[in-house]
Amino acid sequence: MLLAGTVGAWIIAPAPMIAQHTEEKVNPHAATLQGFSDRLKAYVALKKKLEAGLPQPQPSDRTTNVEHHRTELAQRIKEARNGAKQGDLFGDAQPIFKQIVARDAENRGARDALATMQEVPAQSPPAVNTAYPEKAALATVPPLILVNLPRLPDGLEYRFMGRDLVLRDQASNLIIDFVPGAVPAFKK
Amino acid sequence: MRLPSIRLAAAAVVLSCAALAAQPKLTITLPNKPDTVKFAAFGDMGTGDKAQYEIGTLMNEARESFAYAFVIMLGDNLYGSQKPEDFVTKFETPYKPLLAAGVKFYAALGNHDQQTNRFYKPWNMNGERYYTYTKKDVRFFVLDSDYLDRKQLDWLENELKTSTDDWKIAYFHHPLYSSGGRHGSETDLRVILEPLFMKYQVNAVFSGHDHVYERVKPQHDIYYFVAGSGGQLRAGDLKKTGLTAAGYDQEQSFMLVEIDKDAMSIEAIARSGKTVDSATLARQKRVPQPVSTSGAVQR
Repeated sequence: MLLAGTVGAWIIAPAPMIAQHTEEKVNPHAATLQGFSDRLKAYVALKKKLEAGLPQPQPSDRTTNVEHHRTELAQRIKEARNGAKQGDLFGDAQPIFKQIVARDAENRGARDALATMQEVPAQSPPAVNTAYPEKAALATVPPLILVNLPRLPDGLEYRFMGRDLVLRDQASNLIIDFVPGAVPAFKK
Repeated sequence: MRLPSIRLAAAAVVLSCAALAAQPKLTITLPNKPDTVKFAAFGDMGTGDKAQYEIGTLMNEARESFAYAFVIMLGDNLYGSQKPEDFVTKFETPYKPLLAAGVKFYAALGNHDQQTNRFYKPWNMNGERYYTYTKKDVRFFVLDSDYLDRKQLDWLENELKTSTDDWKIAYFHHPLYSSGGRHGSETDLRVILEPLFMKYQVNAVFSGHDHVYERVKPQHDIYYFVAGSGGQLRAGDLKKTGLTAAGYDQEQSFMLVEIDKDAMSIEAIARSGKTVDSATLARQKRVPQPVSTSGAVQR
């Protein structure tokens, strides 16, 4: 069985590869995903500006400098994105992400699907501009989902919280957006 | 009338304690030759509780006769709070004699580790989630299995491709093969990583996550170990299957490893000091295997 079927495959496939298979096949989501990518680029540019003057974390015998960087950066991002709300970054691309995750769930057995989400923090819903739960285990993102999701710029990552797909800023540990209900409900 | 018997009993206790103290607690079964690559391996250790400290003491004791130079940490190196003071109680104190002796620790991150722990200097990650290093003729590939994105996979493939080392050892937190009842084999990871390991002739893979010890029967000619009971323990959780070559789930444990030319010897030592597994495994003689390059990920 192919993971994520055609949806995931053609979302991630570079355009020339698609053209090799069939001339008519055009990715109808290309513009939507481009919009998502542009919004992320703008976020990264903003973050870069906010990081100016903030000492970058360096390997050290004490992680105090890393904590300071995280706290300070988080504060700056929160202030700069005051009023940011769910959907600001994912925007109209949200159904595409839901579809990728749903396809993956379809291809897993129920036991596998449950196991996949075994250590996902249950707090839901997440909120934009709040910290990803720090005391919980950092929920592992199933690699077979990850390889089918669009690539993110350095410093951003996907995580799950409950059934929501979260976009997390690594350095500040902030949730910067999320897709509610991305993981289909399945019966135990 | 009772006094003499109490005295006798007390004397017996003293004698038996003295006898126990005189007995070496550990028996090192490894070849222990000069100039070989010697290291210890364990995961899921960072609880800060008594068991972790006892394993730390045993590891130091083992080093007195088997002078390993470094330790590979298989993730979940810290549990719970991970503030600067927790690095003291959950890492620096339990392994203080090893650190004082100059033993180096090379960590992989687990799902309980904060990502920022990669900046903690004594773990030698140099701020990276994944990295590689060499000890003599052995190259280690340390992965972040918690977030195996395509960037990391590209990096891994490039590093494996260019490695000409005699031994290639990968380690990371989640096991591709495990008979642990709590988690078991991580099939997602296996689908993605195993073809690379086969193609580029990785010799051995060490993981944690399941809080047991297991030596897995070679899979596609690759040796797999689960050593996830360096502090945590899930007693009775090892559901021995066709995968299991050897295993132990009654106490915490750690591994010692020695690589000498074409042989890798391993020993697993439990919290009580007893050896629960030992083996000598030959370096695989293999020809490169093609892998599917269709681009589609298959289950």
